Amino acid sequence: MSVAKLPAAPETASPTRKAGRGVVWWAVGTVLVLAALVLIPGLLAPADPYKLDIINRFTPPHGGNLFGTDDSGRDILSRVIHGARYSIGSAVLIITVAALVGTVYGSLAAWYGGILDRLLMRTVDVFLAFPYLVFAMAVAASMGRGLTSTIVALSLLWWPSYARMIRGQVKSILNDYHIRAATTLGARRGQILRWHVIPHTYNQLLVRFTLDIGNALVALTGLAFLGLGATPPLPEWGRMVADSKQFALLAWWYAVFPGVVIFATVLNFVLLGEALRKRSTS
Amino acid sequence: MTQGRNPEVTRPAPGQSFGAGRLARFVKGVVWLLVVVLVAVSITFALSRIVPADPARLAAGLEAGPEQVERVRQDMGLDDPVMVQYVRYITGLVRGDFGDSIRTRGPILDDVVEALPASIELIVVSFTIFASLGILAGAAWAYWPRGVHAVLLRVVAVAGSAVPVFWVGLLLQIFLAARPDWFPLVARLDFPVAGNLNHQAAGIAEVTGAGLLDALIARSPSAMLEAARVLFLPVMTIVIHNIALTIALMRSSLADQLDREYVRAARARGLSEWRVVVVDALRNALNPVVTMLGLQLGWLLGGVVIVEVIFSWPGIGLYAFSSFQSFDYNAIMAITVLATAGFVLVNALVGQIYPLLDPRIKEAR
Repeated sequence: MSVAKLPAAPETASPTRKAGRGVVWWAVGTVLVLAALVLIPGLLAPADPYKLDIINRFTPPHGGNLFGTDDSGRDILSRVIHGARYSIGSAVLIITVAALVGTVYGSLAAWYGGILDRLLMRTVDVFLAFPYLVFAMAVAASMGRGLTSTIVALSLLWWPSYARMIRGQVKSILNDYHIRAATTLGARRGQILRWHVIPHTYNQLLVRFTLDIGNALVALTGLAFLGLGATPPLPEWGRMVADSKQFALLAWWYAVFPGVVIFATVLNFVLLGEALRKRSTS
Repeated sequence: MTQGRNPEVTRPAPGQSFGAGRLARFVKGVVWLLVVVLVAVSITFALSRIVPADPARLAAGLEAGPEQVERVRQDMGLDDPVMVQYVRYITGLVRGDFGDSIRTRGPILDDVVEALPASIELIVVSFTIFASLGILAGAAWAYWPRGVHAVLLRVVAVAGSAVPVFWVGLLLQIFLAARPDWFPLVARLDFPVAGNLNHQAAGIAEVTGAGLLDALIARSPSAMLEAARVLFLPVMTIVIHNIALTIALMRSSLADQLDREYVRAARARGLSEWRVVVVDALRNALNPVVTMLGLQLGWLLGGVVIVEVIFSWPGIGLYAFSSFQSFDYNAIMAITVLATAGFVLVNALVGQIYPLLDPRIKEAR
């Protein structure tokens, strides 16, 4: 990502055009729905996601079980709803950690410059040179199976891209006139960084954050599919698709519905991220 | 791509190719490769030593008593201080010794060499298809931005990038291999299996281990067809996911070039549309796409694990998966080293393509 050397144009409050407002409502809606799924799945799910009911195993979708039942007779819809906490929750956690670490790291590199900057960014280059999925698998596998090791593995891989992005932005903002003004007025360095530099990175950070939640969800469920993630009986989405694999001929709905939910969630974040980017650049 | 251009500009004279600058760059590249691999190994090594699982216990087997486990631990050198183990591992690597697999009990390098051809076949075929189709489709979309195909391509570009690979593979299996059995599914007893080409059944010798290539060597059209049939679903799975980014980036890159002044100038001078769009604009537009394709290859090194697991493709990905499952930490680290080295090398090679596309890059170095 190359950042223009020209002084950045001053931020103007984007006009509340109709399209822009639509995006805001969309984002708010997404956050609300996901927050509900993560915080109060018990109120939304029609059944107990862990309750075994062997007699009714592999029931095709119908009025009582909209997504059908799995190999232990558990309601797939309820499991998907309860699984949001593990799947989306983990994705948000991974990207939050990555964005926080990357922001601090990148702004330090840009702020101090010189040898420290070169050293820090060279380290970032090393991390970005890993084939990330293989590396995530290796880290998750080395640490032993479980959701925690997958979260650690993916966070470890994700922060360098934020560090690079933030460093580029901070560097260009530091050349800006308002920074010179603040310096002239005697603002302390920490103050400048906290109040006059970092806030200007929020726009791009938000776009990136939104897109990356989708990406993290794909990576996380992919690792879970390989058995490197949530352990049974947790209803994590990737894990559910993995479990459905051996019954794919018997019960298509078992493989299809959890996958549809992953797909729809990722699609939502990708489209929302693109819309936010358009809004912030227009 | 050099057609219609002055060959002296794009190709260095043979004597020039090993100049001092080039040598320095080569050495720098090798040092970089070593640093990246060393960091990757160190991280994996450190993490594998702070985990609760006990490799000696796993290697000794379930029936082993405490003394036996202790003996295995000593044999494997696991009771030495961590730093000693680390240095021993690194010196082993330098000699090209990746250690023995806990699971298969043979040298890991042998296992890897055996599994590699099947993976390379899968990666090369998929990469060729999604790169060429993606570039063509993206270019067509940029040139003719309106129409039914544009809507279709937008759907492919957006949906393809959001769809989880493992789910696509599973759906293709359910709806193309299981219901109507158009493509092989059960090559072995355990469902879902497509597997590599069965050389014995096809009546050809196993020379390289890559089905298509072996069929070609044996000059057997029926075996080639069978190899292609076996390859079809895994390749489709990879293509569906990876073509999305290629299409999207190619479109935006070429659309950006077509807006430039030089295109208008070239058209005004009366150059043919082919010359303006394909020879000039497309060539310039390819630069970011090549970068992205290099990164895609890095993704493929990992993505192929998922695809190979779904289709029981007997390649390095399936080997990696089995190693994860059995906590075969020697194999896990070997795979990390090889994949990281492969990725760095691929990106170095990609760097060699830029000067072909844009001679200015070579001069600037």
